[in-house]
Formats: sequence, C-alpha cells, structure tokens
Amino acid sequence: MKISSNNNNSLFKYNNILSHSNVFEFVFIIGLIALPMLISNSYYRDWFVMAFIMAGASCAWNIIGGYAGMLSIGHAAFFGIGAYTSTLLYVRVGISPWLGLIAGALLSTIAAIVIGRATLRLKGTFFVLVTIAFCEVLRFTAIGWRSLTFGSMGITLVFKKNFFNMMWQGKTAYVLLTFGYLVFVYVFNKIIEKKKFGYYLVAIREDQDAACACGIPAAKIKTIGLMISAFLTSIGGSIYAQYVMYIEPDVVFDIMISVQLILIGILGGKGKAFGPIMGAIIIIPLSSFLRGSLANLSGLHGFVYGVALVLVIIFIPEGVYGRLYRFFNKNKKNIKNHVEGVM
Amino acid sequence: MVSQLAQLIVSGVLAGGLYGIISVGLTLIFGVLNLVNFAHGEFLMISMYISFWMSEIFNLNPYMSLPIVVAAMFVFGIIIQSIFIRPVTEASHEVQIVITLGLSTIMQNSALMAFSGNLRVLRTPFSESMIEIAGIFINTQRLLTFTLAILATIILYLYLTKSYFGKAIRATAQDSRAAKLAGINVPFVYMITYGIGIALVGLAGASIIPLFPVYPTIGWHFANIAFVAVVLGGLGSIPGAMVGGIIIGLIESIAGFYFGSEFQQAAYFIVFIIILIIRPTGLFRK
Amino acid sequence: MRRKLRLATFFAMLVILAMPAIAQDVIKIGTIFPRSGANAMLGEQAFRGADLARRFVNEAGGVKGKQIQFVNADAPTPQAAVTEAERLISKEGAKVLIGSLTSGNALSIASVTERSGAILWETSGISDDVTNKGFTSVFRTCDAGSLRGQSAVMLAYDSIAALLGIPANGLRVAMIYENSSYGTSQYNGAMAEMKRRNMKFVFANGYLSSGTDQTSLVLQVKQAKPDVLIHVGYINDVQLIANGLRGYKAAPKVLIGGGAGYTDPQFQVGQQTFANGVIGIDMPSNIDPNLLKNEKDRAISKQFRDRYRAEYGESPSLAAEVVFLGSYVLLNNVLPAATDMSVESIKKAALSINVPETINGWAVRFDSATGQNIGATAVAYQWQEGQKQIVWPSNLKSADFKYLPLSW
Repeated sequence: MKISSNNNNSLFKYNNILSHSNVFEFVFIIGLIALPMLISNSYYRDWFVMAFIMAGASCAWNIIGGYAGMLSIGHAAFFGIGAYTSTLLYVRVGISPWLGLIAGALLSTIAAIVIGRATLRLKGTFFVLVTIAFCEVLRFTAIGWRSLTFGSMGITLVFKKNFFNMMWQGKTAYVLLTFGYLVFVYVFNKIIEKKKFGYYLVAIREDQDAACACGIPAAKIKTIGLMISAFLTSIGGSIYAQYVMYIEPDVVFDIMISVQLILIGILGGKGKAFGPIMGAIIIIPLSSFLRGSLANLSGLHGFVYGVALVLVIIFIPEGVYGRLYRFFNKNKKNIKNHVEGVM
Repeated sequence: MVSQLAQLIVSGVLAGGLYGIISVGLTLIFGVLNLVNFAHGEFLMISMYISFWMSEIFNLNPYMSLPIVVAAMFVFGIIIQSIFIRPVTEASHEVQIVITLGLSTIMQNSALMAFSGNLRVLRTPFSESMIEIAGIFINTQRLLTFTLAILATIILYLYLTKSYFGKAIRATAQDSRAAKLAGINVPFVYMITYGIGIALVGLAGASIIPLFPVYPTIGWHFANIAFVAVVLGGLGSIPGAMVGGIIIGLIESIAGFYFGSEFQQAAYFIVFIIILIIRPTGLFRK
Repeated sequence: MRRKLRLATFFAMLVILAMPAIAQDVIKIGTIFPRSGANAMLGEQAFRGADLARRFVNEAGGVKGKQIQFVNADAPTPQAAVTEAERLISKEGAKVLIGSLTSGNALSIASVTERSGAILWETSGISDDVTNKGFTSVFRTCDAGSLRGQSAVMLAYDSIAALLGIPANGLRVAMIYENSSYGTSQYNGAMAEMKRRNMKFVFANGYLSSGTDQTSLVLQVKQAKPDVLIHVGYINDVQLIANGLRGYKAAPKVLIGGGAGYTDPQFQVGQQTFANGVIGIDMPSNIDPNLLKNEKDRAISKQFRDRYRAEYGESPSLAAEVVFLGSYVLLNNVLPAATDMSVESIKKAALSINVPETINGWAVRFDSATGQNIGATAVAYQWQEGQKQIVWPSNLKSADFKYLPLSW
C-alpha cells in the first residue's frame, strides 16, 4: 500500500464535500438537533443530552482509537479529570466551569503526554492494559485523596442558575451546549481526516513499521493524537459534571465509561468521524429504553443489552456507519475506501 | 518487627497463589488465541456458583465437588469458545474485545436473573481454621488453595512441554500459520486451550468459595488483578502469570500495611505501570 | 353519510383519548432502587419494602379512595439514576420518587428533582450531603450517617469504658470503615465527636469494601492494640475482617459495628457463636412489636413481617424494613394530608405531619429547613445467643450488655 503524495486529484475527487456520505451526515446532524428541540419531554431530551456528550467524547476517543488503532480502554481517565478539575475549581475557588473545563483539558493533555511517553515502545495490547491501569489508579486516587476530592462522598453541586455557572433551568440550554460540543469534536475529526496528520494516524494503524520507513515520526504522532483526544474527552467530562451536578470517583472514573466510549466507537463505526455519533444515538437511548422498560426483572435489561452487542458485532463488524459508508460510496473506487473504510 | 514483615510476606504469597492460578488461565488464552478474555472474571463467578449449588443441593463439600467443577468449566469453556469466539478468530482486535465484553455482560446478568443479587455464603468447618508456625498465622484454606494452584501450574507446564498435544498448543501459540502448515488442527487447539484456561479458573472458583461469598459482580475484581498479573509476568508465559500473581499478592499485603488499605489496590496498578515502562515484555518471556 | 361517519370517528377518538383520563383514578408514585449491578441484593429488598407499603395502603382503601400505582425504575449506577429519575418524572408523571439505598443515587436523583419540581422521598441513603446541601425537594425518613458515627463514639466513652473498667481518657479507640459515602459519613460524625471530647483514634483508616484480602488492615489494627474497635462495613467485608481479627489474634475487647454488615442476619449466620457480644449501631429494626406503644403500629409491624416472610421466604432485612417504614409514612400519613396531588401540597403535608411512632420506634417529623426526619435516631444492638438485643438508648432497651469483653 502506498501513500502517494502525487498531486493529481484522485485522492480528493471522491471526497468532495458533496459525496453521498457527507450529505447523509449533514442531514442526520440537522435532524439530531431538530429532534430534541421539537420534543419537549424532559426525559427524551435527557437521552439526547447524554447521547451528545458520549458521542462527543467517543469522537474524541476515535482520534486515537479509530484512526490510529490504539484501543484505549481508559479514556474515562480524561473524562474524570475534566469532571473533577472543573468541579473542584468551581466548588473550592469559584472559577466558572467555562474556564474550568479548559484547565481540566490541559491537565488531561499533560496526563496524555505522560501515558504517551511511557507507552511509546509498547505494542497494541500493552497499550490497552496501561490505559485501563491508569484510569484505575486515578479512580483510587480520587477515592483516597479525600482532602482534595472529598473521596467517595463525591461532590454535589448546588443549583444556581446562571450562564457563568453553566447551569440552566430546563434542558434546552444543555441540549444546545452538548450539541455544540458534539459538532465541535466532529468537525475537528473531519478536518483531521483530510490533513496529513490524519493520514499519518491511519498509516500508523495499518502498518507502523512501514509508516516509520516512510519517515513518519510514529511516536510523536501517536502522542500528539493522544493529547488531542484527551483534551477533547476532558471537555465532555466537565460538561457532564455540570449537567448531572453530582460526581463521585466510581462514576466518572468508571471503567464502564471507557467501555461505553469504545463500544459506541466500534459499533458505530470507528475510523470515521461520524461513526461514534451513529453509535451513541443508537446505544444510549437503547440502553436507557431497555433499562426503563425491563426494570422489573433484575438483570434482564443488561442481558438483552449484552446479546444486542454480540449480535451487532458479529453481523456488522465494521460498525453501523461503517456499513452505511460503504453503501454510500460503493461505486467509488478510491484509496480512502480501502484505507479507512473496511477494517 | 521482622516477624510482622514475615507475616505479611506469607499472607501475601498465599493470596497471590489464588491470583496466579486465575492469571495462568488468562495468559494461556492470550498466548495461544491472541485474545484478551474480558469475560474471565465471569467464568470465575460461574464456577463459584456451581460449587455453591453442588454443596447446597447435593451436600457436596467443595473439595469433593472440585473435580466436577473443573470438568464442568472445561466443557463450558469449550462451548462458549465454539459459539462466540470461533466465528471471530480471524477478526480484528476490536471485534474480539466487543464479543468478550458482551459475553461478560450476558453472563453477569444471567446470573443476576437466575440467582438474584444475594450473597451466597458457603460455610465449611475449616473455613476459618488457622495454623500457627513460629508466630506466623496461616489460614489453612488459603494454604490449600495455594498448594492446588502451584500443583495445577506445574502439571500444566509439564503437559505443555512434554505431551504431544501440549507441544501442538505451544506451536500454535508461536505461529499459528506455521502450525497449520505442520498439520496441526489449529481451530481444535484453540478450542481445547480455551477450555483448559477456563478449567483453571474453575479450579480457582471451587477453591475460594469457602472463603468468599459469590454474587454476580464478583468477577471483575479478580479479573482486574489477573490482567495486571498477566502483563507483569509476560504475556503468554505460564510461570510468569503465577509469579505475577504472587507479586501482586505481596504488593497488596505490604503496601496495604505500610501505606494504608485504601492504597492497597492502587499500589499494584502503579507497580504495573512502572514495570511496563521499564520492562514492557514482563518478567518472563513466552 | 360520509359526514356522519366522520363525526362518529371524531367522537370515537375523543372517547379513546379520554380513556386514560377516565381510567386515571390512581396515584402514580415512582420507586427507584439499584435492582441490578453491585447493589442488587439490597436494592431488591428495598423495593420489596416499598411495595409492601403500597399494598397495605391500597388494601386499606388507598389514598382518598384512589389506589397507589408504582412506576418502577432500576438504577444500578448514579448515572443511570439520573436518566431513570427523569423518566419517572417526565414520562410517567410521578410527583414523588421513593429511593434510593445508596447515597450516590440519592444525590444524583436529588439534582434531578431539584430542577424538575418533583420530590425525592429518601428512605435509606445516609450520606449527610443529602440534607445539608440545601435541597428543597428532598425528604429523608432515615437517619444521617454522621449521627451513627457520633453515637458509636458516645457509646464507647459513656458506656463501654465503665464496663471494661478503663477510665475514659485511657480508652484506646480505633475505627475502620469502608470508604464509600456510607462508611465515610459515619467516620466524619465519629471524628467530630472525638474532636469535641479532645480524644484521638489510636488508628483510623478507610478501606475498599471490594477488597478480597484484608490481612494488612487486620494486622494494622493488631499493631494499634485498641480496646474498642468501631467498624463500618458491608456484609461481605465485615465477615472477612471479623474472621481475620479472630484468626490473627487481633481482636479488640469490644467491637462496635456501624451498620449493615453487623446488624444483618447474615452476620450471625457467618459468625455463629462468635457473634455474641458484638455491638452494632444502626437504624432500629426488628423491634419486638410489644415494645411499641401504639396498638396499630404493633399490628402493622407484625403484618409486615408475616407478609414478607410468607412471600419471600425470609425475614425482612433492615433495608426492606427501613424502606417499608419510609414508604408507609408517605403513603399512609403524608399523601392523605395533602390537599391535592401537586408537589407543593405534598411538601406542605410532609412538613405538617408529626407521627409519634412507626414500626421501628422512630417518630417522624421533618425539619423544615433540611427535610431531615429529626425523629430518626440510631440504636445500639448487641448479639446475644443469636438474637439482636437493643442495649442503648435506655428507653428502647431490651437487654443489658453481656459477653464483654469479647472472647475472641
């Protein structure tokens, strides 16, 4: 496989803005914001808010998980850092979460640098296990360092509605905020996809040694990818904290959040900017719906959810959007399809 | 002071034996099938339930039913592998991860539906007995578990190195394509190996039901430790996994005493990260 | 002809749409407990308690002639609790949610009820944050965790020291606690009381209740040689630690357990004769009905126990009982006192009630500032020959202290 740098437009011709898949994505996204604005029921809007946050965070995960193939199952670490940093700054120092989320994102980026440098030489599976371990260490730290984080008691936010506090009455503002977050990360992904950086990530995923042989500084690129991913995931965590208004170590550093992020990414279609969005809009409402309707026999909704996961991954291994993307672009023979489309 | 440390070491090593035998199963599966078995903890939970119900219904002492549990788990492992894992052997890592995660969810919730969340405790007359040697207290149950774990590991190791099929397993672990070319029935090897890995977990489960109660979510705690032990010891290395487990038991014990119990679990994760940085391939090679 | 058909269809539709409204002679109350996941066992018991309360009230005629209908939710994690609370309020239209068992759930649900104008009827979560964060939508019928920790310390210095023949200022007290909000809130209360008395723990440490090897903790306790050990834990970890304290010869003279692990019947099952003498501080439960003053309360108490045992094959646990109690107060005392089923009226009714006695001896009267039931207190039990006797406070006492110091 060659990544040629020839200037003929074949690489870009089939990726112009008006390709079928892009149109679909655009329409879908408009639908995504229209729907919650039209539905006034607070419960269904909650589905959207949660789905948007998770979609955004999963798109952020996608940057290294999908494009670079580094399957981090520890992204809750960044989510939690974001949640705790902005919340602690707000509760202890009175700093607005709008600024707090940037502080959290910066801290997460530093954490990413630490992980990145430490895992430079590690192969796939090791990286996965380090990410799990790292998140667990943070969780235990949040539990144990009570003087800083209030430990397992968690932090409860008092409702004072105010733009600077990132607190509003009703769901509308949250829907818009989380949607904005989602679009921001999504557009970021789309841009990376087109730039050299995106191609480097994919090259590293497909064959790291060959990429290095082509002169791609793999370690540096992977670290930068992880830093960006961490930064964006962290913002999601801060927004989550302001929406739910209660955080504790076992919730925001939960391995289940990491697992949810990668499930959304994989089942939606990793390696595509839009994949996680599709994944989130299917998975989050599905699990909430199952839990809501099957509450009376404990364990049934979890069981159904597990079965659904297994079925989907067996029959649609490239993810729902992965399949759709192939469908939209099936008549277009281009390198991008082979490189990023099918895994 | 010295005897304090000695006590901590002894307790740690004994606890580590348990972690080790669980990890050996995990590393075997990873080494041969190249699969991170995220449902490993749930198999432990199921084996504990089987042992518990054998005792409740048939009045079988857990050590009597141990061979039955091990055999049952071997068969169960083979069934699961054939249905869920075999179809995705050639698929990418992500698919395998999602499958085993899905499996873990299914098993946990099935147990919840079938047995409810109640803690099931199995009391045996010897659950609590301690022997005292030179001022050091040893829990006989844990000693027994440790002994069984070491025995099982040695038997497994001998099997893998001396027997014909054992060599076939090792060949497949080394290079599955070459093994196929050499005439080894690779899918069959995968199936049996997975069964063996789960059988080892069954051994662990049957040994510890006198010590801990079983409930649907007990699996994850041990699974976490097993992942760390496996990497510590070197992915795919049987002795490595056992040693890794023992090291974790030691860290838990010593760090827990000198730095506080809250730090106990964080401690082995931190050591884990450090080891990965210094020596990523782990202590032993495959 | 066509016009008549259209008219008929129109009226038919009106009737069909009105159907739910006509059938609406029920009052919808939500329940939200962790019925799957790590807390499934206690969560399910909690739900049973609430459900029995509903059935009792319905069988007695309901509230103002209307039957109570539960809409149920499973909240295995605080994250799920938020979504499920939203569902119960916005989709099912419940005005009151009975919850929560865990404090994490309680606080998550509170953040929803605060903003959506519903009520969280907290029956079982004990973290102090539930009532001291200024929530106006939360009413808690059970006691606050810090009160228990405080009681443990008071018990140690005011009663135990004399029993052991040790002067109060020479008493060595240590405390270990599982480090979620359940244990930590009790620890905070205990610490505050220690500070007030100018005392210090000879050893105090939190631990993770999910740990499978607590040897180091036991050895740390052994090293500190306390006279009195206060231990807050859940069922599983308590068994491990109790066995360890005995096995490693690290046992204190007196063991005061804080809550679940020590007062649950499982403790007795696991410890057998070694349970004798162990003290547990918790909500009063399983009170001998004859100790209750009011005839009606005695009847309800017996009815509750009998029905629970008949249906579920076991005695009601503490979780089931305390949730039953809280739910019964809501359905039997508060709702009938509300002028209508609006949130405002229910809140007013809750603040107006003054129940002198419930099936566990608690009075129920809510503090208007915090929503905390100030009639909720803790008691100290002691295991004696397989029975839990109340040894403190003296007005609820059923037996004196025995079996001290522990023969471990």
